[in-house]
Amino acid sequence: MRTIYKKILVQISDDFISEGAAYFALKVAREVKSHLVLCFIHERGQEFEKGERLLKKYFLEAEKEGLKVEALIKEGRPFEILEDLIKKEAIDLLFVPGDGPKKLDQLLCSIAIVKIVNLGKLHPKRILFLLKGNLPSWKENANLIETFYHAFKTKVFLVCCGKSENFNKLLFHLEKAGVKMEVEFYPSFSHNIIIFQILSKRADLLILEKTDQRILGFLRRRESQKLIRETPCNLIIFRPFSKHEN
Amino acid sequence: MRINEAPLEEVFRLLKTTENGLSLSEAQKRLTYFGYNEIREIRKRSLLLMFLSQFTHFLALILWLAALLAFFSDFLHPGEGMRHLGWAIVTVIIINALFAFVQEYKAERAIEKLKLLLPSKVRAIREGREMELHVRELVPGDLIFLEEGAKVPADVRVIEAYGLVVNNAPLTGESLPVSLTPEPQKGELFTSKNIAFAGATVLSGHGKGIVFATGMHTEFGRIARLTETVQWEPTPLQREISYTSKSIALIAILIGLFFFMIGNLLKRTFWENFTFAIGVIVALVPEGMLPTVTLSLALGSQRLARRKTLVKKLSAVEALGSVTVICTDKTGTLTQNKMEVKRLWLPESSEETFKMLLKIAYLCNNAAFVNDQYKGDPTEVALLKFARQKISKIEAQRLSEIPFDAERKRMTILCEMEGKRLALTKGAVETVLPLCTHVLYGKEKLPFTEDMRKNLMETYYAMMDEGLRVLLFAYSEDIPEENMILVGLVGLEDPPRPEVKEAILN
Repeated sequence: MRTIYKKILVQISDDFISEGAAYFALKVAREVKSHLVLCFIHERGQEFEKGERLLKKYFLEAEKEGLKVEALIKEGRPFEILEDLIKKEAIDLLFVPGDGPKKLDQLLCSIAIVKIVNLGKLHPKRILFLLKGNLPSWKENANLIETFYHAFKTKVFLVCCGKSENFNKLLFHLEKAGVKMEVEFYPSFSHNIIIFQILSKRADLLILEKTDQRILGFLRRRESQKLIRETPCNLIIFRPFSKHEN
Repeated sequence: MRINEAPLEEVFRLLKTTENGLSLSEAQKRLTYFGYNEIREIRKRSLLLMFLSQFTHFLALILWLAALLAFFSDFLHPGEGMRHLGWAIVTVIIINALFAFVQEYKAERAIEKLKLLLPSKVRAIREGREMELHVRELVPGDLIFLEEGAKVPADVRVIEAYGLVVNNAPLTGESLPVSLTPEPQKGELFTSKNIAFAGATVLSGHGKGIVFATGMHTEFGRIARLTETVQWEPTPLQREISYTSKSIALIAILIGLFFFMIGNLLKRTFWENFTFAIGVIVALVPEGMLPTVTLSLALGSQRLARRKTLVKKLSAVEALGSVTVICTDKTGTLTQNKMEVKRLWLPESSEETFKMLLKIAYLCNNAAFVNDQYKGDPTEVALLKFARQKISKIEAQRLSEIPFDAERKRMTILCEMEGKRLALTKGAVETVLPLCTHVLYGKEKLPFTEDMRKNLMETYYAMMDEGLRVLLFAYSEDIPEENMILVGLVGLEDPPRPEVKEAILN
């Protein structure tokens, strides 16, 4: 499978919250045979033995999968460390746990923010992808869907909200790639409809694109934030990066 | 790897916990992250907005406008009683709004009933110590005890089970008890036998489990949340009221304008025309429509209450009259949920065949008669009761069991009886009949011919037409469920409630 993610970085923390980010990063890296960089960031004076142990655990798991993997322990502010690493290591995709650093929009790579609410369903059997708006990054979205489909051998549901030609392009691309999926179209995004879709289809994982921050996006952002806050299943908020569309 | 598929060591690793449970600080951290283990309403709109919406629907807006015009008219020409009319209209709006708000508020309390299905306290282990916790303080990773008679407080991966049997009826509607095991299970979480779900009841046995989902992230929470996604459609009456009020508003304004223009043509002053037009408009607005509709629905709901029908939402009174199809639950609603053996069919009516059928009914059965009470699945209880009425205790030793499942639709037990090893089977006709090669005729076993099969199927269909649940009984002397000897059919019925016939007729 052709991939745009040659190098994947995942931020590890010393608690259960980062388990999800590490898990998905490992699976995606294995699927697309990326170089995986594990990074544990600690504050000055903080004990990091636990983090070191976790880092070692994931490192060994990645090696067992035959991945090229690096493990780093850094001290400092998470955002600055990540920004630096992304530039130096030419990172294509960053996985951070749900409580990751703020200002992620400024980072120069694609980002996947992982929020885990059900530890028993970490391995998803059903993934629901929410696609809305104009979907300018349809290629990267398609790539991500394809990756997750193959990585987890999962059932894929696509919910397309809005009218955009890019939906058709994305669907065509996925059909060509052999992704079996169920698609539903809605004229606009509605929090209630999405919740109903997630619950009735028993989706284990919801992946949605990070909403735009422009002023006119205010209402859409509010509905999306409500969905993120009250997510009924594990969640990945995906921010594609424009360089990957070229 | 999903929680049901993981071996025990992996379960501890996945949930980041140990056999000593969580530390108190870790539990507190998780409580902050995951929130309380409770079923809560994800309110679509605040109570205030719900209350205010009763003052802002279309008919209410027309009435507000009419009231405003009445006050304005009184301001221009006081002493003509328009002020009293204005206040009367405002009173009508307020009374209707309060009434409708109370009704809607009561109807939205469905979640409160679901909350009653969860327990309040649970025994758990934290920092190696046993303690009693409030159920709402449970977090993923907590190690809890599952005890007989108790309700399961969260979604739990079973790690120890001693005869642990649960009833998942609050989730699935099925009263069939489920035996739980700590072994890894492949397949869907929902059908795994190593998962205990929030809301289920522990029927017997005990065990331990690790919580992996709490609150609205449990299966129970999912169902609760689904009930909140229901979009209420306006009833036919509400649609008619909306259409009528829009039509009346339009007609009233047009007529008011018409009289205003006539007044102009008759060279009356602007304010005289304006006041007259306002009076016409206000007169045409049906202030009494809303309270009349509300009152008649309230009277209707009282009449229904006398006929033992509880109406939670007034608009349902009219909607009920427009219903063309009623979909209803059967077991326990239309029926008494008390299975009884109603009919038997034996290939040949001899004592030996009948006795064999009773033995299968008695032994191939997981129901029990304990402390003068029957316990177990209703179908099995019916069969055990029937067998015990005809014969006293049967001496036999159960050696093993192939339990019933929804796919095979049959159950087999291997037992030693009267010095012989037999495999006794009962189940659905379509799954047991193909395994039968012989039929019991008194003391003889005869080959199962096509004529016999035809005869059996005719009887089976006739019993089905009577509304009976039909099971086929057979046994084998050698390999279980192979070359079986057919013994007979048993038809069971869950009798309808006495009032159902009249309810359906009417």
